[in-house]
Amino acid sequence: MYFRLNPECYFIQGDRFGAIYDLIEGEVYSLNSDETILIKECENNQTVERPHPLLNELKSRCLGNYFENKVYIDKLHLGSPLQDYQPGRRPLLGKAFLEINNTCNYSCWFCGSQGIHRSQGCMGCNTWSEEGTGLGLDEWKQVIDNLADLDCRSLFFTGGDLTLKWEVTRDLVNYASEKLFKSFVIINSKSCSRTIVEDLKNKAVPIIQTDNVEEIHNGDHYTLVTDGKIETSNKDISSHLVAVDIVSQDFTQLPQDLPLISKKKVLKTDLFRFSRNTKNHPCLANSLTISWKGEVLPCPLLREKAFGNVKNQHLYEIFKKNADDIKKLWTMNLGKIQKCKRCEFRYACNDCRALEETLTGDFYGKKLCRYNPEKGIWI
Amino acid sequence: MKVESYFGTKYWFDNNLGIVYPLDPILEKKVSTNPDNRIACIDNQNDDAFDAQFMKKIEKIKRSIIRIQQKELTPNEIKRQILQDGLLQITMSITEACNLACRYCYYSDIYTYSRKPSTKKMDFQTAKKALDYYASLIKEGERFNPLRTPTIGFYGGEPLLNFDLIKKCVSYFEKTYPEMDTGFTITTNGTLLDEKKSDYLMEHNFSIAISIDGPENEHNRNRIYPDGSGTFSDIIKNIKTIMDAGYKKCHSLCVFDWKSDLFALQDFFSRDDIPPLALASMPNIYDGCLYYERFTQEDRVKYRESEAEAFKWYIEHVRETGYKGSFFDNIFGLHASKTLFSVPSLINYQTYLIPYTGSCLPGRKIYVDVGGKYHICERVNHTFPIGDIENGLDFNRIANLVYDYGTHLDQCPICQVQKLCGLCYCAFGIEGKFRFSSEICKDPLKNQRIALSWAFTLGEIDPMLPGSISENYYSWLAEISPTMGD
Repeated sequence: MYFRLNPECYFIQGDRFGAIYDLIEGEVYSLNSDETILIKECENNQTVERPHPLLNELKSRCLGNYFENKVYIDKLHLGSPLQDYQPGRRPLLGKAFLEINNTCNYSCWFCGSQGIHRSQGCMGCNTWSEEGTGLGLDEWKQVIDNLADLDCRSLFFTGGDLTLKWEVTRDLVNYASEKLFKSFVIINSKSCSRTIVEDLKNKAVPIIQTDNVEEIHNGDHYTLVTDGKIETSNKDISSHLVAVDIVSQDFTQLPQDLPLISKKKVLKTDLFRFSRNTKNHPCLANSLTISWKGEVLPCPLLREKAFGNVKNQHLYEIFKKNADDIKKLWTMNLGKIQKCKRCEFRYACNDCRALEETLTGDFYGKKLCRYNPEKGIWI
Repeated sequence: MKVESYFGTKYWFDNNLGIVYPLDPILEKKVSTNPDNRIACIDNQNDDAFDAQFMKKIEKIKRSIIRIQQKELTPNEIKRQILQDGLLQITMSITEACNLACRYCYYSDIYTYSRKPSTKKMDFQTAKKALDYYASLIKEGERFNPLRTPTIGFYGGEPLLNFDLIKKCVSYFEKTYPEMDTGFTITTNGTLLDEKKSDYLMEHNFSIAISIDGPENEHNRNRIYPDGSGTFSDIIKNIKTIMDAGYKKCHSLCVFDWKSDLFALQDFFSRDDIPPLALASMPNIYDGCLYYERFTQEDRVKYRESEAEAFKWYIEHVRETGYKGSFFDNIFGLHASKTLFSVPSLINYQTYLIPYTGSCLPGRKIYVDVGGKYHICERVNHTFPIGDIENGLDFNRIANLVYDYGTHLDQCPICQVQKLCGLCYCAFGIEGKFRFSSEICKDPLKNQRIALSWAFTLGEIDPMLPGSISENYYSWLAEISPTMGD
């Protein structure tokens, strides 16, 4: 008798333990070491004794089935796997951050310029202590043209305070809208107004950053709450499009059950997320950032890893010159991170390389995780 | 479509979803009695608990399908699409002459609609114009696809009959476009590949494809000089320079037929002194092919028996040996793996432009004939030109051609193996017109069923095998040839 997991169920092995990813229902099932050995044998088409309590349980959950003979299970995948081998494939640039200024008159306590580290640092506004001259309007338009040619679909306009020169922001958003981009504009709640939201209507989605939980409102926008106290507030955020931005100097004094470090890190899976995460880095992949002074970066926070400057070269030329380095970053799935490669949950997890590098001093380091993959426990 | 592996396990290939799963007796019964023959329509009321839940999951999978909208493109959009994803290679037919008279030659009377052999050769001015135009498109397309590098292929006839032109083209392109990381390929019969020419090709890092059909008696059966004598010994003598140099970018192309001794081919292509096998195929049956008229029904039956025996041998050994790129790996393992993994799962169409068959957008590669006309590729007959060296690619013509082709795919929307289809223009085109798919596809399920059966059998032997075969093969191809993996 044989037992095989269904086509939509992938077995992923860690150091000692395994997990089953159900790509349709979205669940990730944790296995103990004996279960891991058993499922590994099953997936290698080795015989099993029936009935087996675990296998019965898996069958009852519709994760796998018994077979009289050896079977081949063609695991569910998106598109043709042979596409990955096609020569001359163009880069799949999904999103780009355009940091269209580096100026702000506020001095928020959570600003990157204060040396504060944030878990969603890329999504909020920042100002950087950097020398240089910003790109002009025409240069930004040329960047947008280049991105359109590369078939980039999403743009995140960020700063600085984008409302200081609102006419520039509005002009660029309109320009991007004509090029069929899906755009997002990151605005500090202190600067946001009804007029601004109206200006963006049908052109871009605002991402409003606030440190006040009470400022969360329904509407056609996302909210980025920068303080992490949201879980202790009475505010019902279930109907809001809200992301929580945890702020800390060194991230050592965090509540143990915080999603950033706890079991809640393990997200629901699905076919798209799993396909992406097994091949690529969950955040860096298919993304580039153009800084306020034209530097092309892997993400808004990796300031030291510039590939070139659009003042000197077209974006596609920079892409060509740095193709290997960009590919290395994009395809850095969590199996390539020392700690994560030992973890069975690695393809259902998020990761911020910029923050981890800051906290560990190692670009391949990992601090923001309380799971011990050797013991299979969350500490 | 129901498929049975060599060991008797039954599977269902769901064409709508592009997925496969084994059938237990209950599912099998349901599939067999379903009038639409589609798993998605199975009534799950009376199944046991697992089957009912499984069917619910299948319904959920259906909702995950990415639905590509079919779209007719304007010539400008066609151009952009080509600048983005096309231009992989320019194939230069530098001569229509050949010093051989192979019995299955595509450019012979065996094929009704192909061009016929001639002594025409391409001159440098024609080649230069084609190369300059190709380079201009590569430059123009850089902003859409910065990762693409140009590849220039030399083809014939026998391209080494015009070796001086090869040298002139390489020299010209390298000097004129030094910033381009250009790849060169050549497809040759190997009889003129002397030491000097071999050294030149290796110096310029050519990907060298040599046609060899196996051991002497196999090869000489079809690959002959005009006087009927065999070419084997000349080729074996010639490839020694390349093989002794340990040059990695040289590979064999093998054509076999219903009289081939499959085990002899397996032994031959496992030898270290023979270039590794990149592709083994039978003569193309389309384009009014008359080649198969020489075979009897008995030949065909014997071949099928021999193939079955070879497959039995293969599956008894493949688990120990793994994929080695042998002849059997190629005709069984690779063919099965390619068929299985070429399926675009959970996507409704192959592409938004050409929803059915495996056809590319003309311009994916450019084939230029000796007179300077552009064609879809070397495998499509010359009655579908897509431009010329004086005027460049004709995007209007390409748009019309794609539209016209689409209107002839009448049977494809209801085909049960639509997502497995690898046919292209060369199967449909005759004298400037396309035939309908209902005329071409007489028994589309049969061959696909065999390939899938092989794939499932290999997967039963080792679940990793179908995937690893493709992975090993395409990784190797990427090293030895810039465009052959396309």
